[in-house]
Amino acid sequence: MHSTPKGPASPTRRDALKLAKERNVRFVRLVFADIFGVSKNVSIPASELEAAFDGRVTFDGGSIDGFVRGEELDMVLRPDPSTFALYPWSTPESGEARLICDIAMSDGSPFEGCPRTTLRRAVEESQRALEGLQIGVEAEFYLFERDATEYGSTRTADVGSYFDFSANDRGEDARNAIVAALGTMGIRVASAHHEHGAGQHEIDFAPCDPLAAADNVLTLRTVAKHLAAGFGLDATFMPKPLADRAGSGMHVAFTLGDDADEETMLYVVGGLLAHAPAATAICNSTVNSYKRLVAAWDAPIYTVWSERSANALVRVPPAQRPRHIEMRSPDPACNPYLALAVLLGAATDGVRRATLPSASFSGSTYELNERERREAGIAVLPKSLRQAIVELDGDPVVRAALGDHLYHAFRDAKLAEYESYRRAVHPWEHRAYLRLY
Amino acid sequence: MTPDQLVEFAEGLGRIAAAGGGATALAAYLAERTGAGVLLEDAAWRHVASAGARSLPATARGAARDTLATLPVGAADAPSGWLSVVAPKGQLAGLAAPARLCASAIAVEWARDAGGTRARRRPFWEALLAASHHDLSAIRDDAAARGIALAAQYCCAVLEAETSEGAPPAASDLRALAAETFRGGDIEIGIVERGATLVVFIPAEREVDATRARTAAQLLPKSAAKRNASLRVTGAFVGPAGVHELGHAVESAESALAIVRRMYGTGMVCAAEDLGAYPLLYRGASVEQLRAFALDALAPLRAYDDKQQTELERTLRVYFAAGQNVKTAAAELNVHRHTVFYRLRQIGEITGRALEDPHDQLTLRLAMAIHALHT
Repeated sequence: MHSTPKGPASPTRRDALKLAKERNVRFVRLVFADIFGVSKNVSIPASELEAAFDGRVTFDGGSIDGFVRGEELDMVLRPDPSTFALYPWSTPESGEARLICDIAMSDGSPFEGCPRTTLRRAVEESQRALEGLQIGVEAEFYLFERDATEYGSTRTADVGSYFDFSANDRGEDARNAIVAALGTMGIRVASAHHEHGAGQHEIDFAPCDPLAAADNVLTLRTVAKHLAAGFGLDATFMPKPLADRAGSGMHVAFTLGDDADEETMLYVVGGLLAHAPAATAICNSTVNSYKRLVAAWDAPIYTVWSERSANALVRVPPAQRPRHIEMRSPDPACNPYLALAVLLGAATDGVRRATLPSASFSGSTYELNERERREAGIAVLPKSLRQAIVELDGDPVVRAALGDHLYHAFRDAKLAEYESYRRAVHPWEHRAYLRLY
Repeated sequence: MTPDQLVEFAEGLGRIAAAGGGATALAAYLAERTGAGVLLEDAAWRHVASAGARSLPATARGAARDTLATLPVGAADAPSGWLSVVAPKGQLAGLAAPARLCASAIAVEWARDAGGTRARRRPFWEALLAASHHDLSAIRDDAAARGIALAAQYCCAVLEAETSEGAPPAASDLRALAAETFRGGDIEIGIVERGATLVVFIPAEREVDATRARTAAQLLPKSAAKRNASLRVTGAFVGPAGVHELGHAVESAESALAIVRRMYGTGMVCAAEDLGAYPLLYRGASVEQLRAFALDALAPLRAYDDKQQTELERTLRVYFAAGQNVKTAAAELNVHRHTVFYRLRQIGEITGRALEDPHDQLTLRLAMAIHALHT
């Protein structure tokens, strides 16, 4: 169920300065995302807020993954005043707020490697083709028992499943606290519920503009981790923490403008499907992501769209107004700015080139055989991060959505990640081979 | 460039064009004379050629504009491609004049190529339509001689257009619209004008090609109206057929078009297979043809009933017999009326026919009547 809420007007620079004063803010975290979508921040005293808005807060870009180029060390943080919010754990004594920032070069020009700027550009380029587009993100995550081990535990605090009420469930209490906290930060949550796996939860954001949708994911990851700890839990957005339970996805729902007709809907679906294999590298950006994209738990594995199939890549609920198109492959460990940028690029390309999808599918896509897939023009999503990068290399539309700098930085980093994973010896290999050979 | 250098540059372009160098050679000449990187893309931003030592983006669309300038090739409102030059900041302005000259020369080259190719290939499609080839190998030989790569199968669309004032639009308008709508893929489409009707052959090597062609055909009246609000396109579409069967496919499409005009009016393109019982009523049919129609229309329901042990076909028969009264049908079937509603929804999904649509309802009613009378 989705509506298009009209929230309060976003704070302007003047509003943010006024609010900071009224709410006795002492420190402001200037938050930005690195190329992996990991939240980074520079903390400034509230007295420096005006200087920050003037673009006078710099940081050393050379120490952030993916930002490095010899001459690009000094970078400027450009706070977006509409993102000003007090952290829910802020007290009158700590007075802590945040602002999400774009990153600029020291001469003031936009930094090509800034994921948020990349999404901003993709939004601008999509505006003519997809006027009035809003994005609703549905993020899944697990809450595990917190312990002192190096990597954390995978024990859950409950045995619930889809939409369950669980009595005395700390997971549910934590989820409610997360939803309430997001509300105090001005982020509208449409709904939240227990997901399929024990310890697995889902939070659905109300549709909003794409930039805010990506900001919301960044905020959710920070808030969930912070608040879950208070309940003795660890929140993880890792796509597949347990082999025998459902993975965590991050469905991205495109809500088209009121004027969008059937034709536009088909072209958006066509664009998303055509570029899905290449977009996978960005939307499913870890080696672990590909353990979720298997024929189980309704995860998508083929470039199929459907009105009803639970495991199609793109789902379009029939006769819904405004038109609602759900991309089901992304996972919550992705960089939300880059994921939305490439999905917008794919959808916009679909509209510009009038790309039609294959016929919609009903039933379980897992039953499709190779001949049926070939005839219907259905591709298989990459099965590994390495394959996904090969697909990315061959898709100029997705590469253009990223821009040259981010494409190369992301590609190099992910190839290194894959190589490190490939060289590691995993527990499965010990179990299978150690005594056998 | 000075005016003299520009003249010299234009003469160079002329020499290359006269020697048959083509668009790629023209782009390379621009790169060589200016030192810029040059990227040539078609109207859909697909790569055509690149030249020059500078590193070029994969596509100029959406690329940063401070070191790259893009010009339309041909008319700015309907370009046949895009020519982009990449040079250091500050040098782009000086490249504007030679780039424009080069874009114009490429536009002329492309227009000449398209005109020549069309003229050479048109007779093939006309002969195919007139069934004047002896056999399949004659068709293939003729196609090869004219540089046409034939697909194994083609879908066929017949289209007519009129303006809101009732007058037919220029034939070239409809041809351009069809060419744009059904473009894509490595194998070209065939277009033949038959009086006011345009016959389009769309390659369909795979099922997905036919699906896309059909969707594109159905969307065509809307896309035409977006382009020109007074344009109304009416047409019919027939699914894939072998090259030697295309004459028959066109006949089917033309009779489907007549049905569309009479039963649905103008401003829509229908697939012949969606016309249900109307082709039988329009052309007349033998008992065998009637049986085949009924079997075909009811086959999805029967397959589902067999597989899932349901009784959807019986439910539909009882529902029609009860004058579409759900309560009476529920009593007859001995189920709750909610179950009847649920089954009717299933029937709609499985047959792909909307029970509330009078045309679809007629098809199913007739199929059931034929089944009762002839089996």
